[in-house]
Amino acid sequence: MLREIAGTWIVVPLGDRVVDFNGLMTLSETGALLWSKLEQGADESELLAALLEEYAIDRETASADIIEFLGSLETGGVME
Amino acid sequence: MTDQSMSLQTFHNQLRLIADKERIPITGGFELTSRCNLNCTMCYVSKPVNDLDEQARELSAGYWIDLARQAAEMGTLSLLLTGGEAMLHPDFKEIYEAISKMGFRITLFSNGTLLTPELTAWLARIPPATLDITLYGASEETYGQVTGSRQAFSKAMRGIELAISQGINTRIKTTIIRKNLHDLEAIKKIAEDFGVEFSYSLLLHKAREGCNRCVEEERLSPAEIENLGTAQIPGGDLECSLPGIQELQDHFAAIKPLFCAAAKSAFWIEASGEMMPCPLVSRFTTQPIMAGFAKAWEELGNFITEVQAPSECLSCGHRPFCPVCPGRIFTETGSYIGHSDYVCDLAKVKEREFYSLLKRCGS
Repeated sequence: MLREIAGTWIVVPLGDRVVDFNGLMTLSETGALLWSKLEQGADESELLAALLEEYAIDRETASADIIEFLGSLETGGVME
Repeated sequence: MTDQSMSLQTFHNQLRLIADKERIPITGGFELTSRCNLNCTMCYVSKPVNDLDEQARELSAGYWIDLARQAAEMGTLSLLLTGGEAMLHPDFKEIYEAISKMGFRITLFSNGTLLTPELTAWLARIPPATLDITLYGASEETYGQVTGSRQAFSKAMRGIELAISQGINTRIKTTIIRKNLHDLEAIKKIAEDFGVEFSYSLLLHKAREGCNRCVEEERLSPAEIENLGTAQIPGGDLECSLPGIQELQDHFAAIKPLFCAAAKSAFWIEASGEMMPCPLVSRFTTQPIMAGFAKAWEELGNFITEVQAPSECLSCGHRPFCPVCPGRIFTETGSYIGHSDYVCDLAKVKEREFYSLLKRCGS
């Protein structure tokens, strides 16, 4: 679950996710945007569209950012 | 975009700096019930399990869930659920289940004796970040003397076993008094055998107002604590490694404020719904049920401006080693500005232990 506390974006695991990821993850503004889209069930193309709409970056950079973001979530045990 | 390199403690400390300044209640405790099925001689809050008057005072599920929802809106991240024995609350499952979905990092305190296979399996589906089970001894004899129930030992051990087997992040802790001091090493060994984190406390608060316990007869005196060696130094068991010693020096070099996070970034709500700065300060309360959480939190801020620190502490040379705080001074002396030999002597013991450790390590 994504929360904003004291100006910081924080992902708090819920339910049995606590077993695999018993910690907290802080996100940047961009990370928080991507996470909120993921919570709504967005796929990679929708994440890309969201980044391109929100930020003035090119498609290649945005794609690389998304791959890095999803990879870090997987590595951290935040997502299966 | 993500930061996984920071330890939880470091992150919490950083968040607290902001929260203290902006008065965001990032840490809170819900004392779901004051009743407990054990009758520990040193407990600062425990009421009998069958105390019907006490049970009638307890908030029902709807109130606790609504308070939690409001706390989340105000920015609470870490939430402690405790008692008494929290699992004794008639609506415990309903309360816990709802709160577990709100995005808190939950710590659940328990004596472990009420954990059944069914209850543990249910909890394992929505586990707290940590389940802290207090083990009061390492035998039925000690349990009988400390908690009034010999059978509670095997029940607590069974509870720990169930929780661990279900994958719940479990820690064992204990409170050491004269009656269970002889079991300290054995309790530590139990935690090691279970492969879980262990911690213990030698500092005992006097009973909160309204509780009729005589902690002074039970707790170790500062002199007895000193006889235990470096027990009061965080990491006092550590080898004389340079980083360890440096860490300790930094720890004690930091000037500690007399006031902790209470009412700045932390709150406590006792069983009937009164908000307090911390579990010890029962004379300073606000009313979140009637006024709403936000208003009660705002009013709790008066604690910081109205309560003065003991003047003798402000310039005291032992202060870096001292466990002084308004709550402790209040329970010890009945006043926020009183003098407590117990607190002062604890500071001196800790200071002597620290320098003795440095000497042993050749620093």
